[in-house]
Amino acid sequence: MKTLLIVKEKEFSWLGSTFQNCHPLATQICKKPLLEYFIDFSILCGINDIRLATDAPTEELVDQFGQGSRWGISLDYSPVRETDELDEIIQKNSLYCKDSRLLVVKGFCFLHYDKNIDYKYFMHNVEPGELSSCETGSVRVMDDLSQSGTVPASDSPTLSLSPVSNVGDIHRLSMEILMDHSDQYVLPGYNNEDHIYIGHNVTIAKKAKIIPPVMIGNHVQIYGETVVGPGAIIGSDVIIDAHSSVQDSVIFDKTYVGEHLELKNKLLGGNLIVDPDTGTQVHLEDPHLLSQVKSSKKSLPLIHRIFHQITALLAVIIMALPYAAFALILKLQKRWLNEKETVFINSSGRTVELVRVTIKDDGLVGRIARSLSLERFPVLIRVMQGKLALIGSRALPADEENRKVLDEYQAYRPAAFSYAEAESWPAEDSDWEIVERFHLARRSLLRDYLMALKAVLNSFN
Amino acid sequence: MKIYQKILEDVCIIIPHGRLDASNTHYIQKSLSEEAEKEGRVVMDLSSLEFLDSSGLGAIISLLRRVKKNDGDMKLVCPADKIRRVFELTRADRMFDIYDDCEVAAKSFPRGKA
Repeated sequence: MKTLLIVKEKEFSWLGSTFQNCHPLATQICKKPLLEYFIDFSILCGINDIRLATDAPTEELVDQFGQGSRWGISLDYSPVRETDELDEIIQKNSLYCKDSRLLVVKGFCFLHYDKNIDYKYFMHNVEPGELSSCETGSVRVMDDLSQSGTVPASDSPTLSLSPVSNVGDIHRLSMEILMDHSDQYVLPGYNNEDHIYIGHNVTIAKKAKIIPPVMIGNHVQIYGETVVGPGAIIGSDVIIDAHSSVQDSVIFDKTYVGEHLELKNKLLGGNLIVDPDTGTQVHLEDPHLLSQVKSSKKSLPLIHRIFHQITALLAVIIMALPYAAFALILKLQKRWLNEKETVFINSSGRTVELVRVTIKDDGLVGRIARSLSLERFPVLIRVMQGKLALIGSRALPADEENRKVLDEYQAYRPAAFSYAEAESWPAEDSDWEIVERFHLARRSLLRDYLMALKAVLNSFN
Repeated sequence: MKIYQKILEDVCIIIPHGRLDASNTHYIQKSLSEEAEKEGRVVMDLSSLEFLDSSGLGAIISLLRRVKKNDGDMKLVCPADKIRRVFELTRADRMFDIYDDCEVAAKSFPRGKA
């Protein structure tokens, strides 16, 4: 038997950038990623093969869940289209689905089960068809072998679905599990006392008070005179400062909660507070009240940055004289245009102002200036300053449309030369992103060096 | 790199073997006959491909564009994880229907003109 999980991006688009630090399928319910509940249930059913069919990007999931070896199963991913119906998805995965009974979970939903029940017999013998459904999803058994099954679906042991269609659902499910159903699931953390789950490297001040049920993640610091619980789910890398209280609330990973804050019935992540009942979101600007615990960002290794900066410095030294001469000549001919442009320098929306040069001369002087890439001279200075990379993504102008592009483009690394122009293959304008994503995922010092060289050589032609 | 071709009913199936990179993308471009391009039912079976770089990816995308110009479609067969990852990483998977079985991909074309 195999599991096919089908989740479309539009089903969780409501999550938007609410908790943008993780993939929606890694959204935590009781500190456990949603996808992990499906994996656990599949294992309870005796299933070792799970395929996630989705139209959403899966890089983050692959990073987090890999190929499923942590659970002793095989987990893989299959791209589908937004418009694909169930039968088309089965068709696209026909080799996977062939000759096997299939557990199909469709939609962005939560599956209630009980780890103490053995589902193997039921799943292998139940009549094919829908086992449970809710507004946002369904779970069914399909059988390619045309076995009818002897157990009616109505005899299903504990198995039901709950919709996950707003932040209120995440809060409600988390609280329900913590308060009443924690024994039904494998939950993270040590559990020596009833209804208390604690991760590793947790520091709790003497004068802090912990009232069960609570769940505390890894690397958490709870300062004095703090009251945590009842009904508190604290993520990992969280600091709760003195005199604060957390009750019936969920605090996501990497959050700092300031002093004297009283949190009741809330969801928190970074500097964001969400009321689960109304969905109202408040971003707190004061980092002393609530903020994100900064971790070392995924950035270029130091040696890469130094390489980019030194190469830019050398290029600036070499180009300085021809730049001055050609700029002067072309400016006198009014064929050298300088334009200021604000561009995004990272995916979080930081910007910098660049001077863009356009050479409007098709004569010999203009052609030489262009082939020497002199129009990049001001941008190379930004590379020297460490604001841009030497080679990477196209620097996107800072506007609303590109802000949306960046939400889905975490690897964005603007540069003086882009991978797309080094490759010079994009047949259509929209293709640049494909080339960039390809190289950004495989970047290395040597590759960057060769690609930069290729981009420079291309400008000669 | 070797490229095999076969016709299954009225669908042209292109099967590249080995490595598809900058040195041999032109073979892919030439692999599609004018007739098949006009017919507009193409399946590119990448299951025997061992390596795909950005130039190879570009060649496949440009082939798709050629087929689409004639209101046709090109489907991909891509069960190998590492090749499939290239499409996922670059978001090129959004441009194609990707199958894990060649026969099913060939049969998925609507009957009559694509």
